[in-house]
Amino acid sequence: MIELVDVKKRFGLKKVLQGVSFTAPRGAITCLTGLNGAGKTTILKAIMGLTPIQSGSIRIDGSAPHQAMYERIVYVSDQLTMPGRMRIADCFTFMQDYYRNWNSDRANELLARFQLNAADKVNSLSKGMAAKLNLLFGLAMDADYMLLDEPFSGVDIFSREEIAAVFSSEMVEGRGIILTTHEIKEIEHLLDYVVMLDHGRITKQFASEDMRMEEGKSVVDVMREVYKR
Amino acid sequence: MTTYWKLLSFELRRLLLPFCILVVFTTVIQLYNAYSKAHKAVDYANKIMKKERLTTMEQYANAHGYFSYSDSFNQLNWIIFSIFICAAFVGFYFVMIWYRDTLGRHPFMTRLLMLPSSRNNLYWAKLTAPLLIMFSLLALQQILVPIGDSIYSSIVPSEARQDVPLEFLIGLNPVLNILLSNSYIDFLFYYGTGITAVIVLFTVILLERSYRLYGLLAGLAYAAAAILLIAIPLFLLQSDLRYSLTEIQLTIMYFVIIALISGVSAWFGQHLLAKKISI
Repeated sequence: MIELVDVKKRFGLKKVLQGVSFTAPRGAITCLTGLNGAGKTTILKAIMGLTPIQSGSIRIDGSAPHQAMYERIVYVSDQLTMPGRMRIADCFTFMQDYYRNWNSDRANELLARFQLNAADKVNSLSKGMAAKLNLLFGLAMDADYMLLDEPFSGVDIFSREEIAAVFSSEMVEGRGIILTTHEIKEIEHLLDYVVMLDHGRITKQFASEDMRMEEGKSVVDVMREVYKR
Repeated sequence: MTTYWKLLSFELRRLLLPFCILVVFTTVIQLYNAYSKAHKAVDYANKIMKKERLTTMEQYANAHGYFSYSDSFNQLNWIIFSIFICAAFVGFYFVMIWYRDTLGRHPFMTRLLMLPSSRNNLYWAKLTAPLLIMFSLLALQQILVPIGDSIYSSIVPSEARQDVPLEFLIGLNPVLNILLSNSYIDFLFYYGTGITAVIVLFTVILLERSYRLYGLLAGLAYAAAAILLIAIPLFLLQSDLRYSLTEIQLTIMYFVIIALISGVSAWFGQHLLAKKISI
């Protein structure tokens, strides 16, 4: 379980996270939503130790984040995190060199599934292909948790469907997933928990199934209520 | 440790193309310099011999002096230009080695920071890769001087040529004299100071990457403090206190200060990389 307790973060004088607390269990998909600048990406980066927090605590299965955990938890940024001149095949070699949990068979399977070419250079990929390759880097690691930052950002409808299909596949089964997105519609039925953010504060968090059963509202309905206020 | 070697090899592979270009550029420039200087010398001698009706090179040398490869070493020329280009590249790369992975469409630094091993490996790999390139270029210089000398000797006849030892050749050139110093103390002085400067520069960059503008200001203040500390022995050398300290004591003081600055800066830089950097 990933657990955030009273996490606060400032960029200069700007308060980006103002006491954020939530838990994301393993085997469930937790979605962070909010308007631009709500602090979604900062939360993911803070969990990964890519930006320090001012106060509060972050625990992963009960322990504080440390460098070795990068084999158990994988962050899929909204940008490709490989040098532009590298070929996809070289990226695979790089990942295999550094991560013991890199699953080459799964990587090649996903390469075919996403119709990517191993000889292509990273900087030659379109936005949709880059998003798929990013997702591939996350899925090809046998990690317990996956953090995905805007996996649908700037992606066309077909690529979006392809990516959404992955979330209902056996590839994510048993993993704890935290994702940030504005494009809720495609994956709404897959979400287990939703955390709504506004200006670095949690405005609402709920289990989507409970919300459907008890109040008869979908995630999109709740989003409309919260953000159109 | 394995990760360090992998990262070092990765950084070196990224530097391979510019390194090869620099090797070819420096080699061509310096060997062509030796070739053209030799031909100019022979042409000049022939012209004078014709004018003065001299029949042998020996006669020319007796009347006008000997030619030497050292003539092309004791002045500002292509040799210094090629060294300057290499130095400028290495200097520029010491700054860019952090920024090239942080800026742009594909922030590779995110991936590097998420490697499942200590971030210290990344720090040391990024420090040692350009240093290795720098020492390789110096080794190239060491090789090019005797090759240039051989080219010169093969063109200028021995009767008109005065051969000089390589150490003397290097000593004549103000830049090569520093880069390929003969004395251990000088070598330690120049390279110790240079490596300390790079470690301090890394700290400034990592402060900037951690705290942006405030970090840059703090980094500049840190660098200024480091320069002031390094200047203490040099200041003492100029002051009246120089009579109460021997040269050896001042040298030891200097090396202790740069070791201290390097140690503190390296520790601080690694701390920033591990705990404070923000992507």
